[in-house]
Amino acid sequence: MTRRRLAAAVGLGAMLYGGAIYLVATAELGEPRALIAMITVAGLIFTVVGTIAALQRPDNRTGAQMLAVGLLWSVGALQLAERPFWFTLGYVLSGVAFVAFAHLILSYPTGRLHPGDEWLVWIVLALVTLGPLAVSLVDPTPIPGCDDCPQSAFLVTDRPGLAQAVGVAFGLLAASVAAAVFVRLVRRFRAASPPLRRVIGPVYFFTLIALVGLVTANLVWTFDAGAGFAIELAALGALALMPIAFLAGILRTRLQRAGIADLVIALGNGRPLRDALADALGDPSLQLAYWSSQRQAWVDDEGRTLKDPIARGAHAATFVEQGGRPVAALLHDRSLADQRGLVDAVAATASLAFEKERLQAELRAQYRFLETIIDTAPSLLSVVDTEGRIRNFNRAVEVASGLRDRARIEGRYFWEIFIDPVEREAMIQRFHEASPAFPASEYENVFTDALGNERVIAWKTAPLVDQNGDVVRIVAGGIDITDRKRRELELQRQWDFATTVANTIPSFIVITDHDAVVVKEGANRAFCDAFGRTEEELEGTSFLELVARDDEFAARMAIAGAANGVPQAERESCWLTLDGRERTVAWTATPITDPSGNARVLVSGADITDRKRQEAEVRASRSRIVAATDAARRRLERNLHDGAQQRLAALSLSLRLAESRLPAEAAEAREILVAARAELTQALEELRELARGLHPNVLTDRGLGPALEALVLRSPIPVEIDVPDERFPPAIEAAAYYVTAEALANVAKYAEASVAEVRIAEEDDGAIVIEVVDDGVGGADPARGSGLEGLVDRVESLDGAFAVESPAGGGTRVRATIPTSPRVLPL
Amino acid sequence: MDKSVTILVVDDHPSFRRCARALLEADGFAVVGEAEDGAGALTEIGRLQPDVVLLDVQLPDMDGFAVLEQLGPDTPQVVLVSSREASDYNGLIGASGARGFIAKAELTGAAVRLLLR
Repeated sequence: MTRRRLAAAVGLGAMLYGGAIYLVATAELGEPRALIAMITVAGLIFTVVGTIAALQRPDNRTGAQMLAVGLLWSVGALQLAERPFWFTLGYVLSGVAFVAFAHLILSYPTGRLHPGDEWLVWIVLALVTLGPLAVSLVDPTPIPGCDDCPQSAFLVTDRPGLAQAVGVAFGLLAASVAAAVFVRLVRRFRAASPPLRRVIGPVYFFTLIALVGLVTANLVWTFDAGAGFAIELAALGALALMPIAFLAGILRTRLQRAGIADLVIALGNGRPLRDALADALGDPSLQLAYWSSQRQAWVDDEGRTLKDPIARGAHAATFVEQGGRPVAALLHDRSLADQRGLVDAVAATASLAFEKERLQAELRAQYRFLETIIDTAPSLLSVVDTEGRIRNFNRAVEVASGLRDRARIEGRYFWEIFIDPVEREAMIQRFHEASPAFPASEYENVFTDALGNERVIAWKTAPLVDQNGDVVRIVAGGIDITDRKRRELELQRQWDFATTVANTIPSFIVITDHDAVVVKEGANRAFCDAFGRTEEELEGTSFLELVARDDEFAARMAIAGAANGVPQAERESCWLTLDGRERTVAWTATPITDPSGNARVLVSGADITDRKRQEAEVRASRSRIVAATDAARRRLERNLHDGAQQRLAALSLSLRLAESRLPAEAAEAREILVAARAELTQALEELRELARGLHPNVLTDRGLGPALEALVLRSPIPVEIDVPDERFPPAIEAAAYYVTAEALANVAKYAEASVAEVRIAEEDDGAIVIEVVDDGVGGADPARGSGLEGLVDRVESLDGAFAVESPAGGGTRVRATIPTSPRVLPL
Repeated sequence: MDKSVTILVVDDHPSFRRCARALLEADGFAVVGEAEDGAGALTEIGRLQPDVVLLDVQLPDMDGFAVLEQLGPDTPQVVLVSSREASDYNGLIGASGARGFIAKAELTGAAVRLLLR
């Protein structure tokens, strides 16, 4: 309300109440005069208190509403007028003030109606106007018991009974409305916070008494004017006290403001800030929040972070700032929002204390933060005094000690907890020797904790000194390395195991880096022994230096491949011993990771020198056997030819000669000779076949071409032949001949072929390839006794390869490949 | 006329040479000489100039084909003999320049005569 309006209202009030007082003073009426006098007094009190309230709290509507009640109440004084119209008008409007009163009380203390209360105010308006108007229409003396009063100017009909009924009806309605208001006020009081109760309590109290009294009076009045008068008088008295109670509330606020001086004193005496402020504001529920600039969050006085919003529910927040930055917040009862000045004054008074508390809260917040870190850190942290007693420690110490109770650790000597009995005396001695400087130190100790588990802790200690430089505490930080030690031990065992295995097996093991340089301890015993070098000599040298020059490139490629993560297939290389001997080694290169996590190449090999030599010896031996067999066959064939065949041929000629010399009459003898010569011819033929099977002489004398041409001539199926004219070593020629002969024999026996082809050619690499191909039924299996398996020996003895392809229905291809410069040639 | 056909028998086996001489002479050939190896054959051919040479294929120093290769343009007619069959020598015989081949056991003067021009 503006000052101008307030001044106008006060002027109007003075005029109205001037008139009212005049009427009261001059009226000659009896009881009504007293009643109206009381009403006037009450109205005057409302007017004066309302004016004061409006001046004190211009932003609150309560003062203005109270002033309105007071002004409207003055209208009732018209009932003292002598003229019937003014009397009746005063009677009809005497209750209008209750409309403003209802609005006042329902909206107290904010001055704004609660949602849903508007209709109640409208009903009151209807009741207080329509009720008296109705009575004035049917009752010539609307004020019961006032015989001196003028008659109703609005009288339409004189119906005393009706008037009474109307009075009772409106009285009951008024009682219902009053009950509704009553219930609302009681509910609001019960729901109010203590500070709010202190504000609304007295006002509600007098209002409720007045309501009960007025309703009762209204009802009683119809039946007993005297009693009704007395009750109404008392109710009005209570009503008049209501503004007084309101004023007392304002005064109390003023007193609270005066209490700020007490606040200053309380703070000076070291009273907790929150308690002092709660007292000063009359709000025991007060809470304080402090702005932590470090954490950029609101914290409580213990440094605990508060969640936003910091004010909720019944609490409102008043923020305290210094230099434009937030310092603290008062979380107080919402009812104190109405007393902004008080809250601000209190906040301003305590601002210095707030800053101090804020800093403390921030320190506590930091402390809590550090405490949390220390308690959640896996490291052991303990503070020991200069006597060796544990004074502070974190949770990790509890865990490591096996003592889950702080009381069992605090104050005890650290060696009682962390040092095994056998080492305790030595530790105590060392501790005392370190006194008084207690220089920083590091050590590792093993002890059995309270649960019987062996633990290993790596400690670091540092002294804490006071301002004089004297050591007052020793801080010990430890890491529980039990598991790490266990893993190291396990790893060491594994390593020892692997080393033992590596040094026991006969295979060679060499570990190199990506550049094929042998790493420390990178060769096993078998390798060192075989190649005449020690691990120390090998470390840092290139593995490739151990490889013979011809094999070095391939070895370098293998190491590089493994270094790129690709395991290398087994290969054979020649490695050199320290004294220059060659060893043939079958080896692989495999990527591995060493225990330190470095990528390495594992060279693993086996010495196959002896095996290779034995293989060569076997092969040479086989070749010699084949060659010897061939020689024996040749010799036998030659012997047959030179011996028996010649003699039999000569014998045949002799028989022919004898036959020619027989006289014509010796027919019988001729027949005998002819028969003998025929037998001889047969024997010669069989002998020839035998000799031919032993060894084709033409092969020795004329080579493969003539020998094979003679061979195919005897084949029962057509054979196409393509054979070079040149000569080859006898073993190769023999192998080629026998492969062809055996293959063609098989063709004749099994293949059901229409044609066969023999092709012998020298390849670019100098190998002789013998191929015998037919178009027969196929399905030949060299392992099934087809005579081919003997040829395998013959071909392989010459370092050659023998293969048969014979798909069912797809013909047969026999193929032998024989190098012309085999590693081992028959002697 | 047959007496005028001179023949040189070349074979490393004396028993065959003896039988061949007897048989051929019985059949009317004039066996003018004998040789027991390739070199001897070449010498005797040059010296005796026989009309026919009965030449064994298998000789100690060289075979009969090699002897044939070394003969000059005015060569006697050569009949190859062997205790083996002609098929054992396949095309060699045809390409050798010899008049033909007779298995030793089948040797007769008639057989030789059949091969001569």
